[in-house]
Amino acid sequence: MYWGEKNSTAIINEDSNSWIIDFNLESNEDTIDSIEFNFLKRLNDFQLRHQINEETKNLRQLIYAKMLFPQHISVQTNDKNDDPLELLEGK
Amino acid sequence: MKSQLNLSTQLAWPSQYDESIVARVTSVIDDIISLSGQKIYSKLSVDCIVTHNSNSNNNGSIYIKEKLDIYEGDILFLGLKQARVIFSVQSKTNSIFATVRCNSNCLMCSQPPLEHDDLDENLAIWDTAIDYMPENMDYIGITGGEPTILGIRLTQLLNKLTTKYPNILIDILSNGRRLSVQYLSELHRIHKPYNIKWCIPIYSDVDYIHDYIVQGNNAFWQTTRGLSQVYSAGFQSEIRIVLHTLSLARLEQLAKYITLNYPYVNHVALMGLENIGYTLYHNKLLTIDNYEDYIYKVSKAIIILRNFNINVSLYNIPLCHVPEELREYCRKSISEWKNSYHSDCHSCSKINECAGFFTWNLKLNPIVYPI
Amino acid sequence: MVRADLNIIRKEFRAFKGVEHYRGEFLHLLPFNFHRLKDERELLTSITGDYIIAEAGSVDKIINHRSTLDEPFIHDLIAGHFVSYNPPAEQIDILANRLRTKKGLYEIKPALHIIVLTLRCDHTCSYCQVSRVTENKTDYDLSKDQLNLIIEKILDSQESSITVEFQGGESLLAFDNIIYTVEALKERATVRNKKFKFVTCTNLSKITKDQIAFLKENTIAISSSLDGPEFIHNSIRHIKTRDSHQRLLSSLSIIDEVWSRDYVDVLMTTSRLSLKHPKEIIDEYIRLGFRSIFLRPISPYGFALRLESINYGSEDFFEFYQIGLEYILEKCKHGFDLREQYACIVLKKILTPFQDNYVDLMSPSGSMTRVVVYDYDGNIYASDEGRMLAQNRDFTFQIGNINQSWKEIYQNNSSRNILSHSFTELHAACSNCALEPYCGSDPIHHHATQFDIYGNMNDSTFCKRSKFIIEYLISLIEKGDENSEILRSWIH
Repeated sequence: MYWGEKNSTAIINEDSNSWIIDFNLESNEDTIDSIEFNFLKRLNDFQLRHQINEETKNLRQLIYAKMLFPQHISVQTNDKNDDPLELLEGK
Repeated sequence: MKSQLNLSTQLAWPSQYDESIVARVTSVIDDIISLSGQKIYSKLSVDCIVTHNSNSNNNGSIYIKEKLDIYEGDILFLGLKQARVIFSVQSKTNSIFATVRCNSNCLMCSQPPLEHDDLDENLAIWDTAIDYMPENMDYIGITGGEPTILGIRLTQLLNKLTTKYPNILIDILSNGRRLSVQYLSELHRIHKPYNIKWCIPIYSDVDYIHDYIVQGNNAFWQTTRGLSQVYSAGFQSEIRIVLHTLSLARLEQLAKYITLNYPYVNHVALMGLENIGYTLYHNKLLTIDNYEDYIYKVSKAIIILRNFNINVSLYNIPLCHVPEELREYCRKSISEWKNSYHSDCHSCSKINECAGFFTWNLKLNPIVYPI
Repeated sequence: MVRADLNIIRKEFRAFKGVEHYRGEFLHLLPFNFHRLKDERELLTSITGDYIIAEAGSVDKIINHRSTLDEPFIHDLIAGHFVSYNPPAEQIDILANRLRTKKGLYEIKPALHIIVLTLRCDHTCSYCQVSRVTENKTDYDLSKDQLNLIIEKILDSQESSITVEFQGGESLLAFDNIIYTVEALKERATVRNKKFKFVTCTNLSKITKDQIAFLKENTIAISSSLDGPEFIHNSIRHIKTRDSHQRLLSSLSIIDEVWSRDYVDVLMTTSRLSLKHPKEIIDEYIRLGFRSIFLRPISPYGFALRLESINYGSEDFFEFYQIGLEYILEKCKHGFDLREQYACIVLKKILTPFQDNYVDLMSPSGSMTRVVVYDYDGNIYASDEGRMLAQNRDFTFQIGNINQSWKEIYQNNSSRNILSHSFTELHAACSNCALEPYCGSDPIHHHATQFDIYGNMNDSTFCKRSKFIIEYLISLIEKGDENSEILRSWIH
């Protein structure tokens, strides 16, 4: 909606879970079809962005936290690299 | 061919299997080599087999299988049945051999690891040997196996070297996998980090491909974390890339990866493949057969790195095997003891600047183009 | 028996495994954003600032159909930190390091301290919002007392490597104060553990040999203005004698004679007239021996909006920029040594892991965190534009005065307000924009043009311009031709 501000306004219907979107023709360059098409395209793209965010938001937070406070955040990693003699000892 | 090595020494010869001597050659006159050294305990077995007779004066002669060039100042390792020159004054590229052990198992390893617990004996050998090393020394390498397996012993040797030689440069060839965890506290106990360069191989920008090449689970990320630590601790660092089909495939992408993720690295060394050890076993997999592609990718990688002001060298590659514009990056990198030239090389004007070949690579019958 | 056990372990350990053994089962996503290019291709950027251009539909595949991705693409994605077969935890350290290298340490530590010595000036440039042509020193100059307080503030500030920039009006008109300040700071530098660099901003209409000698001796760089050939330069820079351009040239030749051009940098102001003559402007820069030119639009606020001569739209600027940059690249192909600064700054962000020092394009915003301005009357501002807004009675970016401590200044409401609007990472529109790693936060721009310090990016000339430049530069780089090589050589 934000990026399509010039061409559309939205009315949120309180009773149901729907948004009614009015498309406005602002200039001669656009047609209602093309505005609608671009809107749906953006909708799709933002849905993808939402999916990326869902899957990675915890990681993003963690990376920023580690960046800002390296001493306070400790991440567990796989540091096993014993050679055979050490593996033997470990047994 | 048997050669007689006459030794003169006050030392009591090893009488038991686990006794050995580390000694400095004090003079070489005619055929008599005088030694000064001390006994240590070691079970190390090495290349040249000897027998010796000792007479009542404790002067002895030992027969060695192949002729060794021995000079005053060299340091020898002598066991009950073994003799080896472990430090050669004539050479500019001596190495401390840390251990036969390794926690990786690279497909192209030229020094296949052994499961032999040689940590204490190697410490003893080298701790003694450092005392016998000459008054001045600019450079020494530390190889293996994987040196960081020595743990605290490695720190001891490094500190002993930098104390004796305040301006030395030490290259440590390591896979870097222990540097961020198991060896981390030791890392901070090493004095004069600026004198020490960790030479760490990275073979791909894709983590699991690197892991495959070095045959180590999670090796890539362990190594990356290690490199990061080495940088923050004030050491110099070098990335080494042995060139074979697997590392060549994404060499340009790796160069770009280095500029973005390891921009602080002091040097990148692109290295020709040594035809020995595991490489022989994986010959078909590793040998590069498309020369144009190889040169193209190497050139591209060098340009990418040089654009970011990262120093690059080509190691172990003869001058005539690269186009003229790349020759400025070639270095005479092969240790003397395994360095040989093709018979045709002797008519080449640049033989003195050229790396030549690994002795065992000559078996592959390379073609040379004397310049 | 130990030996037998060892053999078993060794055999397993030393057995060679195929590549499948080392590749994980599941492809994890790492944080990334994407931007749809005009041809429908997708530009992906990871949290580290790495980028990949992929064919349309790739993002959908990455999220929803990972098994359909082909191997070379997966390899590029792994290397660019977009996806990983290994648990992402392995990379956290490295990703945090990359992010820190790009963004810096989030702290208020201005490295650029601008001192407005005087508002007096001999020019009456059309776009200038601050200068006064007057002899009145008392009203429009910093007094010695005020300078002393400023010197204390500089020595008290957190950053140890500081560039002090003398501004105005015309800074050379207060040359005594330049001398005073430079000497005072140099004297106390070692004790206070500071390293100083100095720059003085001047129109170079009049500079004496003595003045140049002082500048040379103390390595004070000169930042001046060159808007183009005479007819353009003089149309913007108004002086009674109408010979601004000629005066500039005379001063430059004295500097060449007595010192060196290496210490002179010039910036340009772009007017409507400039937009029509990009090539002539560039030719003038080359003719006068300059190796760097900064093609940037005028800040479209306050004063500028009211003047026909400097009020123009984004599209006009884009056309000017494109013609200009391509002309510069042509010149480079013919051996000329000239770089375009805007491109250098943005390319550094795109192609290297580092950040640039350009305060107007960073997040957190460089205003206040990296720059501080001491005005002629002792007031302190978050940036140069901020003090210009004050001329129109807008004090949003005034953060204090020289009688206050830094603590008081940075913890007051003004500072908090500015700081809280300085992060693209937190902005609704910017935080999921793929171009964010290459862009920045400019709260002053949005406050001045939209009367909204938060900024509405849909409508923002800043956003539009940034997107244009970034997309344009990436398209030039991706061509892989001689232009790309020249551009790549500019990042160092």
